[in-house]
Amino acid sequence: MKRRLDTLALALPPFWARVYTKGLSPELRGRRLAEIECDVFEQQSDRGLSAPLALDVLVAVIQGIPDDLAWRLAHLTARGRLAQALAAGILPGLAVAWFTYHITQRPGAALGAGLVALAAVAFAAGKEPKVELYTSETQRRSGPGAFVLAAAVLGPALLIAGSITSADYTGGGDPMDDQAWVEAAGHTTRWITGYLLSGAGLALALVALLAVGGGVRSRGSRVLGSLPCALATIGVAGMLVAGHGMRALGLAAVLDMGGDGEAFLTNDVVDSVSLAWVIGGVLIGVALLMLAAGVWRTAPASGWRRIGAVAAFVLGGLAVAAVPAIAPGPGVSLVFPACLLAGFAFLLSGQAAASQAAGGFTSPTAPSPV
Amino acid sequence: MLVRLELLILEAGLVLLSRQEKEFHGYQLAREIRNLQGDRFRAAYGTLYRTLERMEQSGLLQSRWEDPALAEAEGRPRRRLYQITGEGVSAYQRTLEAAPALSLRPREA
Repeated sequence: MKRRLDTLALALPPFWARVYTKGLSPELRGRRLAEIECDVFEQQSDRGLSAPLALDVLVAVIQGIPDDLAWRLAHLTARGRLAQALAAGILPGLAVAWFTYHITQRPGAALGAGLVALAAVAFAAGKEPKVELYTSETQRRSGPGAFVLAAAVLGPALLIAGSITSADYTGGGDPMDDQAWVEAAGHTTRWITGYLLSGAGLALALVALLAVGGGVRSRGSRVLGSLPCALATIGVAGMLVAGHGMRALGLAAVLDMGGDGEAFLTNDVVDSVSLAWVIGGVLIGVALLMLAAGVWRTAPASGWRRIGAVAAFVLGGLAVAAVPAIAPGPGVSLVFPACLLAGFAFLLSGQAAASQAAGGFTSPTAPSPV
Repeated sequence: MLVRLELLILEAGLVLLSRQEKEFHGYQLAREIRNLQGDRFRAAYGTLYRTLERMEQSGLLQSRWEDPALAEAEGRPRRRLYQITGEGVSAYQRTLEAAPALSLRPREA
C-alpha cells in the first residue's frame, strides 16, 4: 500500500510540471521538466524506507504551486500573459460591476465600471511578479495549501450562494410565501450548503492570509502585517457567524412559528444581521486601510503602481465598510477578495525595478565561480 | 538583502564547497538545507527551482548540464549542476554582516 502511494506521489511532480509548463518554449519546458525528474529520482534514491515519502512529495508540490504559477507568468509569451492577466481581472471586474449596479441600478454603468476595473487589474497583473510571498518556513508550509483549498471551495460556494437572492429568501414579505419557499424542493439545503461552503472558503482564504501575514515583503520591506489580517478575519468571521447564523435561526423560526416567525425574522434577525454586517464591514474596511497605509509607507514600488495599490486598498476599504449600509448581501464576499487581488496586482507589478533601486543585486555580465 | 531561501541556498552551497563539492544539484542543496536546519525542511519544487533560476540570473550562481554520458552510465536522469559565484559569496557575506542571526551554521568559538 505504502509503495503504491509513493509511486503515485512520485508521478505527481512531473505531471504537474508538464501542466504548468505547457505552452512555454521547448528549452524552458525541457529544463524545468528535467530538473524536476532529476530531483524526484534523487529523492527516491535517497530516502529511508520508513519515511513518509508520499506526504513529503505532495506537500512539496502544493507548497510550490504559487511559485510555479508566478514562474510561468514570468515566462509566458505576450498572448499567454494577456489571457492570464484577463483571468486575474475577472473577479475584481465582477465585484466593481456588482457594486456599481447596486448604487446606480444602471446595467450600462455597471458594465462600464466592471470593464474598466478588469482592464486595470489585468494590466497590472500582466507584469512579471518579483516579490517573495513567503519568507518564513511556517508561512510557506501553511499558506499555499490553504490558498488552493480556499480557491477550490470558494468558487463553487460563490456560484451556489449567488444563485440565491435575498428576494428568494424573504418571499416578498409574505410569511406564507416564505414558508412555502423554504419548504419547496431543496431550497433550504441549497441555501445552507451555499453559505456553509462560502463560509468555509472564506475562512480558509483568511487562514491563508494570516499565514502570509507579516510575510509579504520585498527584499526587506514589510508590507502586510498580521494585524490587518487578524482584523479582516474577525470581520468576515463575524459576518458569517452572526449574520448567516441568525438568518438560519430566522428560517427555522418561520417554519416553527409561522406568522410569529415572520415577525422575528423581520425585526430581530434583520437587525442582528445588519449590525453584524456593519461591524464586519468596518473591520474589513479598517484592515484594508491599514494595508494601504503599510503599502504607502514601506512598499518600494514607485510611481503609479504604488498609487494604484494604495488606491485599491483605500477604495476597497471604503467600499467594503459601506456595503452593509448600501447593499447588504453575499456580494461583499466578492468585494473583499477583489480589493485584495487588485491591490496586490498593482503592488506585485512594481517590484522589479524598485528592488534593484533599493540595493538589490545587479547582474554581472560574466559571473566567476568561487 | 537576500531573501531567506537565497541565503539558505548559498549557505548550503558553501558547506558543500567546504567538502570539496564544487558543483551541486537542486536536490543536494535541499538536503543540505534540511541538515543545516535540523528538521524536516523541504523546499517546494517550484520555490527551489524558481529561486535557483533567479539567483543565476542575478549572477549569484552559475549552472551547466552534466555530461549525458555520465548520467546514462549511472542509470539516472541528467543533473543540472550549480556553482556559487564570487558575487554570490559577497552577497552572502553582506547579508550576514547586516543580520548575523540569520546564519544556520554553528558559530566558531
